[in-house]
Amino acid sequence: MLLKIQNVKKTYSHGDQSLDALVNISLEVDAGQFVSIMGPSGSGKSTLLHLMGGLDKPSSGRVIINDQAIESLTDDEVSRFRRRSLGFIFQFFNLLPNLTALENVALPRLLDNIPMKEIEPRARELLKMMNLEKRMNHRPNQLSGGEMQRVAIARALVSKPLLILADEPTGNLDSKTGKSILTLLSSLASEQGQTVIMVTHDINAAAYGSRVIGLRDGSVEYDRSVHQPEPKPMIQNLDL
Amino acid sequence: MKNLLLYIGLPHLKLKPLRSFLTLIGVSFGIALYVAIAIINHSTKNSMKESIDAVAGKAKLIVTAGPVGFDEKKIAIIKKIPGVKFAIPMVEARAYFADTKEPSGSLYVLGVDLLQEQSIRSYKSTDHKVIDDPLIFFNQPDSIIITKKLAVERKLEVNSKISLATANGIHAFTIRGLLEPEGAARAYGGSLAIMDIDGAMFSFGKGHKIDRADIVPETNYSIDEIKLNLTKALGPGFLIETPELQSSQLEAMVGSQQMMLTFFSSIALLAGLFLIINSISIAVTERRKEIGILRALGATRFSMVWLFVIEVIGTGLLGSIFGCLLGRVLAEVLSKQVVSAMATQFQMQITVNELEFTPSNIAFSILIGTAASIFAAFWPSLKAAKIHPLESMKGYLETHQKDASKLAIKLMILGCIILGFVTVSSIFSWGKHSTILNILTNTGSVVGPAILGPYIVLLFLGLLEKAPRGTFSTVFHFAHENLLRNPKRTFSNVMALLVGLFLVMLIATIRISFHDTLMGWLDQTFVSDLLVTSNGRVATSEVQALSEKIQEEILAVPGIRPLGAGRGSGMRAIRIPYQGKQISLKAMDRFADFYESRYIASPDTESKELINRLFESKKPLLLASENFLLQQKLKNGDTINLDTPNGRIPFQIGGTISDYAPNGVIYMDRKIYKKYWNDALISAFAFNILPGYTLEQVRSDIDRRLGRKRNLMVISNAEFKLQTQQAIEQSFAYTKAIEFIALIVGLLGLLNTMLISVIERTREIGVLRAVGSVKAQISKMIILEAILQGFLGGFVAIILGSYIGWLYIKYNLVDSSGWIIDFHLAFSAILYTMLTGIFVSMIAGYFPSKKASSLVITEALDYK
Repeated sequence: MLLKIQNVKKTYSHGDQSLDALVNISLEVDAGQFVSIMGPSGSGKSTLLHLMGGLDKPSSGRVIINDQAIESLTDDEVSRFRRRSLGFIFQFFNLLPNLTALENVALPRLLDNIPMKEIEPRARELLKMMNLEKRMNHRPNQLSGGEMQRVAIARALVSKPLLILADEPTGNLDSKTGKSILTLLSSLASEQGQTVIMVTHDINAAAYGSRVIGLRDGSVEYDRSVHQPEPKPMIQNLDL
Repeated sequence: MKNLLLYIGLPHLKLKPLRSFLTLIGVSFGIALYVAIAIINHSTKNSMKESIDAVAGKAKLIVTAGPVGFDEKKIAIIKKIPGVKFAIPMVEARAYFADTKEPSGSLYVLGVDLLQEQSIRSYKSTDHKVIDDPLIFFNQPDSIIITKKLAVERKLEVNSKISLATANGIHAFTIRGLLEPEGAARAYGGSLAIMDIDGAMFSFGKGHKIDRADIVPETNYSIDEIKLNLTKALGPGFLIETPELQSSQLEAMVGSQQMMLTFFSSIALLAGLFLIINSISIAVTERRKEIGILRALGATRFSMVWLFVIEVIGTGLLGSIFGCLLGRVLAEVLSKQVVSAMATQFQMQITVNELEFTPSNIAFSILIGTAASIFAAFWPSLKAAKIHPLESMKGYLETHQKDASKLAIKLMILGCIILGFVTVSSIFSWGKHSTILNILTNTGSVVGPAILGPYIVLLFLGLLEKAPRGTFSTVFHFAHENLLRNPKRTFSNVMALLVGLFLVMLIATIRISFHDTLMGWLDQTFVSDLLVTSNGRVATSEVQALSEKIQEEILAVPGIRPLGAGRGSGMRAIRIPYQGKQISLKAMDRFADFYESRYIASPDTESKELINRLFESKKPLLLASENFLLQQKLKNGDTINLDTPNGRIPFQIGGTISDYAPNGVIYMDRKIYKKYWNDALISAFAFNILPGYTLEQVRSDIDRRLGRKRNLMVISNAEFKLQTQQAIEQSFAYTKAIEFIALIVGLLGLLNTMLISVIERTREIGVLRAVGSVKAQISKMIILEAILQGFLGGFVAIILGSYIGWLYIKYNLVDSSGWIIDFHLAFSAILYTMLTGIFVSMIAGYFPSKKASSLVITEALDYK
């Protein structure tokens, strides 16, 4: 079992008022799964993703990734865990504007003090895989939305993470580009065995996952497997 | 860390060249002043030590007896004392060039016995003749030897004449040789001459007295042993010191002044540090999202702190290097002003041989600058560490604003606490008891206003909001709104500028309080129509003393009326050692009754009563200034022992007077002074003009009859006051440079943040332009923002500068020097500070306003 969420509760307090964002959630995710987390605004899906990524801590309960209880780690430990074991894909791409596409991809490993020359072959390979070989030295403002998101996916993959967490990855893209990104994520799971957890409020996007978890008012409303048609191979052999 | 610097830090510095440059320049200026003052202080101390060592030569002990010297016959006694190998007499005098009235136009004359000199000091003349054959020197009594440096400066050569003011009038000396800058000739920056001891005794009115005896000891005796023997043999009234002790006493004397200079220069450094804090705070705010992304991708809090600290190390290091270079240049420019201010204050010759800036000084300055920059960057960097990774996923404006208002309140409380501490510490003199508390009080008196001031500006901005609608133009309204909406930015802007303006007001308050108090005192006490003196500056007692016999010759001039018929009109001002300090002694003739109630001012007693006590006392009595009593912890009625050439004499303190020389002043009857100090010389005569005569008539008559022969200077009442005024101005002259630097740093700070504020609001400006604002309106809005900050910053600086100035004058000054100065609100400085604030802010606002108005609307609207 790669990910275990055990009785997780998250409450936000604002003065005298408190709001339960997540209520006693428990779930498990196997390695190689592509899980979509669905739900309307305020259902707690982003909060759950943040807890999985160690960006936030649960009020109670446990979040265990690869036998590591991340809620018990210190801030520095969880930071190191994030850069080595997790990959993030954000709705607004979150690329650093001053860095080239290649440098953005290398960033998590650069933070680990690994020299660029050691990271560069893999970063180039990933960009090539994303069909961005001609954009490697472009800065984010010279890229389209889809290209920026593909750079972000390459960045998420650079550390060979245990788990990729994607927060509305197509929310800021047109539908055609969105579809290509979703197909790419789906292929990562199906062809390379990469575990992907994606938060979305779009039912069509969620359908790309092999499993869909529905949240409502901070609780799991449904959790079901989705039968996926055999996708066309998108990714060439890559050591993920 | 290397990767962070390479891929995140450096690209930012490259992308913001203007900001990096402005911060760099700000740091450079801050460091430069600090370095300049450090160089001057260090060089002054070294030069003083060098001068003492150079004149002392091989002497291990120096015997003196105050400024009037001691009988030359004592040399014979000293020579017989066990352990004394050589005892070499010397006369020391400051001689004024006859063609100048300025104290800077003077040189130090050493009257030496050349036959004995070789055993203690070495001289090397350019032609080797004079010193090799001293007899040539003695056979020509008008002989003088000057340094090569002085000869070049005053375009003199061997066998040419040099006219000096002596106690007997102007005397032309013949230059018999030039000295290479070696041995004693290195003293006093080369502003030195040597002449035969007998000639010097005659020329400078010493009678048969010498000023010092330099002792070379026998090797089998210890210095302490010889000192004890000398003390026993000579009795009281003599000072037996090692050259090292003399140096350390001088160092201690100028130490307080140097500390004040260092304090002022530290303020400029502090202003530079505010610029760094400002710059990093802005960078953290701007890069909040980027920091959030880095944190989300796994960067630790610690690495975020170091990212900014490392960025600053580069700026701090480069800024410090430039600052060192600039500081060296600034030291050259400022040294004359600073040294002359010190010389005026301590009424002594201070020269700087050369400005020393050794590699270790340079390394230390760079280290201080860089360390201070890192220190300044640390606090805003901690803010970066606190940024949550979730910032990368959400808008942050709301949180940021909430943080800003919370921060403003925290800073307001902190500012109040610091100012409260400064107030209580000043009132209860905590700084007197502990050096750390003293440093904390001084630092707090700048940091407190710097922190509280911007908050008060925000309060005023808030009050403006309450003005009825339509009071101000729309553009003004926008400008005002922008400042209020971004309290954090306004806080930073104002802080940088306020430090500079605060300093302007603080210095002005202190200067004007000194000026007004001294001039008021002078108006009350100085009532004679004219003073007759010799070369030098009588206002600071730096004059060539005159023989008292000259009085009769002056009284023979038509139109002259003595202040006290038959009683004399002379005053002798000297400095004497007392309890390790040099205090001023003023010995006066008893003037006419009318003036008796005027020329002595007392804070607690009728002047006439004091005069009676002083001149009618049967026992030795003196009047003491308030600062003398406070410094020495004495009171009226106490008895103090003064070392005179006739031994240690007990004087009773008969009353308190107001006078403002450093370390205190004592007044005594000149008859008493003459009796115990064996000194009949006069520093200045005071006279009135008979009705029907004009000042010019009398002056030209004195010049014609006595001017050349006696080298007399006639100074009118108004001229004397002007001299005093100039001396006060001179004492504060260097502060102009400090104000200037602090203002430059403030200007750079404001310019920096104003530019960023325009960049941050690019989209908003685009919207304003899109809905129809003309370029001029945008320009006007930005300029108005700057002016509002400058105006309110100036206003708050006036309040806080005056308050800290008041605390300083009322408490700190009394504690440190005993000076009781009346606080005078610096009205002229209020207008100046306000106008300076507006002017500086207008300059700082000009470039950002140009940038804002030239934005292309479509690009501005697309700006993210």
